[in-house]
Parts: sequence; structure tokens; C-alpha cells
Amino acid sequence: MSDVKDPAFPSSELLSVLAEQFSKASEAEKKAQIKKTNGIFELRIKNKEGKEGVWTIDLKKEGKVYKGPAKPKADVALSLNDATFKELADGKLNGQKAFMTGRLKVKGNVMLATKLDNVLKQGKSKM
Amino acid sequence: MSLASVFAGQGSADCGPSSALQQFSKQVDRDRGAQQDRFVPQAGPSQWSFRTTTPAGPSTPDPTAQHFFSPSLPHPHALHHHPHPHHPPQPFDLSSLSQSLSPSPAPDLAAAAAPPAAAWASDFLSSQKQHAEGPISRDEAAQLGRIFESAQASGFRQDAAWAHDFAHFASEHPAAVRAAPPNQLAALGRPAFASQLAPAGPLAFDRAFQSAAEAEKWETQFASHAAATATASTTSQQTTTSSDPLSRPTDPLAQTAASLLSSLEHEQSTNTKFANSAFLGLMRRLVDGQARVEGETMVDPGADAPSSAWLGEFASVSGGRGKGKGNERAVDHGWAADFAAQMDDTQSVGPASASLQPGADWAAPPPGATQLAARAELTHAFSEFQQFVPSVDQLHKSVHFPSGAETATAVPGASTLWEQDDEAETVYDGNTRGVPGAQEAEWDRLQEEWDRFEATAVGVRPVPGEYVFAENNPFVTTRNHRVHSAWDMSPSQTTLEAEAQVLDNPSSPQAWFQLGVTQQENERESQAIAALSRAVALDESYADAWLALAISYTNEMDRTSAQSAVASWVRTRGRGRDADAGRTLSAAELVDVLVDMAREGVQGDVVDADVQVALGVMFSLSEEYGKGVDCFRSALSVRPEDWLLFNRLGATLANSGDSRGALDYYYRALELHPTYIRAKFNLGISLIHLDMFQEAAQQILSAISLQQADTTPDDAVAAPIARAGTPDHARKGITSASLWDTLRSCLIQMQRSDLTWLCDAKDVDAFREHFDF
Repeated sequence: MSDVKDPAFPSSELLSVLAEQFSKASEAEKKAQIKKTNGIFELRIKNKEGKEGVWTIDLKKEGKVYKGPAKPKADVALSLNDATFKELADGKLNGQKAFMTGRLKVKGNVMLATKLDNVLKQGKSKM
Repeated sequence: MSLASVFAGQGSADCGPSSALQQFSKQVDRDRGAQQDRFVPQAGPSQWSFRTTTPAGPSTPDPTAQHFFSPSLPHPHALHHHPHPHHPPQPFDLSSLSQSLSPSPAPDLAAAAAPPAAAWASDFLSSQKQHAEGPISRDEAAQLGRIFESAQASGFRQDAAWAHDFAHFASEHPAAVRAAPPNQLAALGRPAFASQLAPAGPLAFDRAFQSAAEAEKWETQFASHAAATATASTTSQQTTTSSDPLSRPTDPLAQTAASLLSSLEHEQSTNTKFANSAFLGLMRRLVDGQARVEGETMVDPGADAPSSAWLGEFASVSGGRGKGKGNERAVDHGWAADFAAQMDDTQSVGPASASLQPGADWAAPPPGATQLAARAELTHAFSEFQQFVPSVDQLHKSVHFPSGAETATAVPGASTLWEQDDEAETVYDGNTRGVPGAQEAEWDRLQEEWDRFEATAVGVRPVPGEYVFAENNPFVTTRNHRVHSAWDMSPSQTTLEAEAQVLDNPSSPQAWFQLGVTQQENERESQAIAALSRAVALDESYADAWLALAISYTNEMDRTSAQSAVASWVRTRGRGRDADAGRTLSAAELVDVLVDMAREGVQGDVVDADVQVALGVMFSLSEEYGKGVDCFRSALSVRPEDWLLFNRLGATLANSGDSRGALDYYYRALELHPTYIRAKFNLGISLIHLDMFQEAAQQILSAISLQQADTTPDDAVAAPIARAGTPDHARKGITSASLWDTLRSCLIQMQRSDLTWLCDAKDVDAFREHFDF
């Protein structure tokens, strides 16, 4: 998804991967995921220069990822910087630690933010 | 009560998806009189908080009050402003109300509810008349009122219905919708307030209501009426939890708080300290909408500064020293126990429930859907509470209430409390003495507490750093079973047997390792990690345990831990100890070392399976699944009967996208080990990806039933019952949330959403009639 990527933000790469995953998923899968999560997440990522980029993960209406603020209102907004997001995606940092140390700020439905973790873990087979 | 205050940064800070109706009701919530008993307690938690809700009759001479209660009397102001030929029955028309009203205690209460609710409509009319814009006719306002009542009666749940009604209304009466003084339009500029359902309608409705609300007449009337009947209330503390249909909290947090308050009312009456505790005060304020969770702090919407009185209170408590404060903390801890006990008592449904380990684990997710959300919210509120009060259990990690305390009331809980309290105090005081270190220590403690929590789809639950054993393990009591070797390497060992062996040899790393591997097979990852961690703690050079740990961490997507586990494994082989061994090896370096080791093995014409497995893990971490598959294949060539390897190979294939290829390996693993739960689970996942839902559901259900069967006879019965003392997911026979989640996803995709509630209830047997497993 070219519109998701933004060269100023390395973490947008990960988001574009996520977007691809969503687009590849079947309609039924998407519906299942939407029903389970039922939330719109807004990610406000700040890069090193201080610019802030906004992405939305819509798991309530359409099941996609796009750049820009949430079209219908977001249920939860997560503010973090680039490095934090990268670490979160890598699994180096987990959500709670990030939150407790203040690297991740959550506005809105906090419980929904914890569901995001699950979204990323979804459908992984266990070795 | 200006519109601006509604929007000042709080429109998007609701808990839960906000709709226009919620916004609206929040507006109404704020403006509440002291007396609430008059109004019909609608279905919902607020209903519980009322004991003797026989309202005092309309005995006041106040004409306004009389107007409220006797429909026949003309409204004093209405007539004054626009005399109507006949007093319209519509505002007080009960027919629609009684239709839509769920069984309600007394019909006269219903009558009482209708007039006040609709009275505002008539007053709104009167005030509206003062604005130059097209006035809403009495009929329209009445219709508004009726729609609103029916929305209330249906519990604010059908947002769509309301919006639909209103949209319908709006289309019929465009004049009404447009009516609003222009100065309010600017304040309403925020698009955030626009509902996604009916863009124009609710917005205008709120505007209209706003103008009505600002009309003093209505407020003073209401207040006077409220004051007049305030004495009717018998429960002074609970009147703040309103059952006023206009002001029933729809905010889930407030609802939870309301339900909590009501369930604790018994406690409140017996324990005054508890009743006056700050926590309850917070709960009340939550219900009132005065305190709200925003991000990571509690916010008092009325206050300018983020810190509310409650925060100040706790700042003083946490900063305090001395015995005096100790008592308060003791009480706090006592109430935590009480609360946990109360929660246990009030919970009537479902296998999982809160434990009595206060402060840490009582947030275990219950099955009921409503309870679920409530607990999640409450957990959050409580964790915030914990931020400000380092409670006793944070100081004492090992505070465990004995399982006998599951039926504890306040007294037994308190007795254990008081003994520990002195200790806790000294520790606490010791920590705060050294001021610079105190903050750090506190943060570390909090961090540790958080580390123990794990987010799941249903909220936050604790991860046991310690392994939790099953109770009444029959293998432990019958000693003759384990005559032979201390660690039984039999293939299909149940968890109970493994646990028994560990209990018999608590310092044997092998026993812990066996336990860990068994839990891995039974798809209980967190337990496996706990057990394996104990194994390596006892013996740092235990290679197999490190490898198994690495696999568990990989499954949990915890790259750092997995990598360090592999590094430790490498060290047990005597490698990786470079000159600068102080630094941790990077992933690439690790892979290089492993490849070297593999090559050496090849030279001797021996493939070292473990090296291959380690390599496979590294490649899985870096998501180079193709290479990982090769590694596991070569490992299999050395160990053709190792079902674990088959499963791992299958999983790597599946993660790389080749679900079909993975199937064969899973089947093979199951041939070798028919009760291999993890393989069944993986098989289910792959089948889902292949759209073979029926089979997938069968496999997952079979896995779940196996998990449940892996239990003691006692537990099979006791599992559904609330158990205190142990986190629910660590108990025997309790199934993994991931299995249920996947099952739910599968059901939805196969268009059997009607069965998903069974997933919430975690009732496997109910599925037997639908699926064959």
C-alpha cells in the first residue's frame, strides 16, 4: 500500500505490511477479526524530527489500514514515537512496559489498546 | 454547563465507543438533583442500589411538583407562555412508555417518571418560544420526549433505534431540527461530535436540548422539586448512584462503578471505614461522571487541574509515614480483600472468577460478556488506584491468601492482614526514608507488577512468574506410582503426573523441564515458560531447557527473550564465549555461530538435531521461514519419531503461508502422539486458513476438551466454580484463551455466529451436539 508508507517514518513500513496482510485476508476472516476487535485505532507516531504522522487501523467498519486520522471517530488514540513503535512491532518491547514507562500514551478506550497486541499475534501457528 | 465544556478535550476520551446518545446522556448526567428515588429504576445496575424505593407521594404543595405528578393540572409556566386549548395529554402519555418499559416495580413510578421526563419537553418548548427561530410545536417536542423515553426504556442500547427514530422525526419536522440559536452553532463546530448514524439529527437535538438546559426555569423547577422530595431517600450514600432514567450512566466505567457500589452496599453498611474509603469515593464519582479515566490519569472533568481531590488524598496517603497512615493502608488492603470476597460472592455465573490475591490477580477475566467489560474497566481503575497507593501486596510479592480463604468474609481476611501489616509498614517506611531511591524503587515495583500482567483480548490478566500447581493432585498422594526413575520420560505424560514429579523433586531441573515441555504440548505457554525458567534457574547448563524456552518465547513473539535463550543454549555448548563475551550476541552473529556448529557436525557426517532446531528458531524469529523449514527437515532426518519436530516443522510452514503443506506434518505428529494438543490447535489454525471450517472447529474443540480432561476429578467439577487463590488460567483443566479465540473466529467465518456465546461461556460440552469431536 503505497499510500500508507511515508519515507519520513520508518515505522510506516511495518504499517504497510500490516495493511497488506489485511488486504490479503479473506472477507470472512476480516469480518471475524472486525467482530472480535471492534475498534478503530489511531496511531500518532512522532519521528526524530518531531513531525507527527497519523495512521488509522480500522477494525470496526472496513478492516483496513490507512494513513490519516480516523474517518469515523477513533476509539483509542495511541501516541508514541518511531523507535517505540519499531520495538513494539519487533517484540522487543511489550505494550504494558511501554505504557508504564511513558513511551506510549493512550487516549480513549485503554482496554481496546491491549487488543491491538492480539491483532498482531493473530493466526500464528505455535512451534 | 456550556457546550464548550463538553467538547474540551473530552469528546474523544470516552471509555468505549461514544455515540451521540452517550454524549447526550452525559450532558444529562451532570445535572442531577439530590433525590433520585422518584424515578423509575430501569433495568440495569442502578436498579440494585435502591432498597425501599416507595416514593413519598406528591405531598408537596409546590405547584411545579404537583404539575409533575398530576397530569391533569396545567403546567403553570406552559399555560403562561402559550395557552393551549386543551392541556395535551401527549407529554404525559404513558401508553408508549408502558409499552416499551420492561417490567417495572410500580406503575405509579412509571407515571412519575413520565411527567418529569416529558415535563422538560414542555418547558423546553416554553423556553424555545423565547428564541426567534422557528419554535418546535408542542407535538414535536412531545414526540421528542416520547422517543427519548422509549430510548431510555430500551436501555440506551439501541443507539441505532434511537437515531433511526430521530432521523425519522427529523425528516418529519425539519423545522424542529433546524431550530437553534446561532451562537451555539459555533460551539458545535467540532466534527467530532457528529454521530456516525445521523449527522444532522442528534447534533441539532443536542443543540435544542442545550438551549433548554440553559433555560433557568427548567433547572430551578427541577432543583426545587428535587429538594422537596430529597428526604425520601433512605440510603444517603447511594443516592449518588442514580436511577433517574435521564441520568443513568451509560459510560461503561460508570456502570461498572455503579454495579460495584451496589454490590458493596452490604459491606458499606457494616464497615464504615470501608464506606468512607477513598476508593469507594472514586467509584461514586465515576458513577456521577465527575471522575473519568483519561489516558493514564483520573480526570475530574469539573476541575481545571488534572488532579482531583481524590488524587490529592492519595498523594498525601502515599507520602505519609507512621502508624497512623499504616492503619489506613491496612484498611485499604482489607477492603481489597473484602472486595475480592464480595466479587466472588456476587458472581453467579461462569467458571473463572477473581482470586483473593488482592491487587494482583483479581482481575482474572470472567466469562460473562457484561462482566467481562466491567472487570476490564474495573481492572483499569484499580490499577490506576494502585499507582498512587503502593498497597501491601506490592511490597510483599508472596502474599497469597490460602485457598481456604476463598469463602472468606471480611474477618478472616483481615486477620491475616493485620499480622503482615507491621512488616509491610516497616518495609514501606524503609523505602521512603532514602528519598532519591524511593521513587526508583517504587517505579521498579510498579514495573514488576506490570510485567506480571499480560494483555489478552479480554483484558489484563496476570502472568505467573511462579508456577502454580494444581490442588488435589492424585499422583502426589499415591506415592507408589513413581517407584522408578525420578523423571519419567514416558511419551504421553499428563500434566498432573509431571507436576507430581516436580513436587516430589522440587530441585530437579529435569523434572521442571519435563513439566515445561508437557505444558508446551498442552498449549499452556505461560505455564511452560514458568516451569522452564525454573529449570534453567536450577541448572544454567541445561541445554534442552534453554532450547525449549527459546521456542516458547518465539511463540509469544518475544524476540529479545528468545534470542537470549538461544544465546544461552549456545553457551552451554561451549560456544559463543568470545573475548568480549560481555555483550550479547546479535541475531546475525548467533546465526553465524550456529551455522558454524552445524557445519562441523556435517563434516563428521552427523547432523546435530539440536543445532538445527536452534537455527530453525532463529530463522523463525527473523521470519525467514524457508530456511527454518530446511533446518527442521534436517533435524527430522535424524529424529524421525519426534512428534515435537513434526509440529514445529508444520508450524513453520504454516507461518510462512503454506498451510496445505503443514497439514501433513500435523497429522503425522498426531499419529505419533494422539493427544498432542498443540498440534491439534495448529491443525485447526491451518484448516481455517484453508477455509475448511467444519474440520477446523472439530480439531479445536477436540483440543479444548483434551485440555479440560487433563485435570483432577475434583477440578472437573470445581472448575466452573469460582476459585480463589490461583489465577484461573493456571489452574488445571482450564483452557487457553487462544483456543477459544480461534474457535470464535472460526465460528464467525463459518456463519455460525449464534454459537459464539458458547465461547464466552467456555462451555465445550454444549458444542457436542453441533460438532463431532
